[in-house]
Amino acid sequence: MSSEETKTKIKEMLATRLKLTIKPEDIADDEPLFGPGRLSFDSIDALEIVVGLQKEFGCVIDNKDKAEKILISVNTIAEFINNGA
Amino acid sequence: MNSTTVPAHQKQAKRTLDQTLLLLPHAYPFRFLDRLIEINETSAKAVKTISANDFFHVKDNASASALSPLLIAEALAQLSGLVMASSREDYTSAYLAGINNLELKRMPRAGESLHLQTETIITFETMAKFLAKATIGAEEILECELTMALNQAIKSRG
Repeated sequence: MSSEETKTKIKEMLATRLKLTIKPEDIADDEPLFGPGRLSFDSIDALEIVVGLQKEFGCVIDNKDKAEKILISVNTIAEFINNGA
Repeated sequence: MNSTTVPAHQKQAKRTLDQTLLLLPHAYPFRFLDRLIEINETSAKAVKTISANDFFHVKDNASASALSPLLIAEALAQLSGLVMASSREDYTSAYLAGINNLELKRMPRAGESLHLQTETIITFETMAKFLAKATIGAEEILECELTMALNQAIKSRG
């Protein structure tokens, strides 16, 4: 899977699992997922993303330190997936 | 071996199922688990018998007394919370943080026994997601995904 395909799939996963009102293609690759900003996901959203990454990409994020490094933006998640998770 | 070095699951084995059930902070009529059948670090089973005298009742289409599906979800959340709390040494309470994909097949009626079961899908830090089901005999009544959070997670969200 190419990097662009991975990013598209991640955005679709985010939109579906988190029931976002914005379209997947409107999420920028480097847009912050947490903290102040348009998306500003919370800890419950983080759990949904962890479940989604495990179900759809087979990636396991099992601790907070790992999550803080990976769940920054679509770019960082895609990098984690494409590097073999 | 002092108390701080005893793994939580070994401590849990020393408690009876009735004692484990008492870890729930809920009291009548808000406790929706009558009997705990089994519990381990990732799953649990329990029974809730629906009585015509139950405090909370709704009327279904057949005008018969029945238990609301949201209260079944609450019963499943109490069971899931017990799984989280009983596997910790501090027995910290867990809270229901979300319900997803709830599917109700039919309303359970007074006189029926609900068999409740829950299984961990994933645990992440102070939160966990469960696949929970309620059955009557072999018939599945309700299924849902529950998100539970230990109270430290609630506090840290501010």
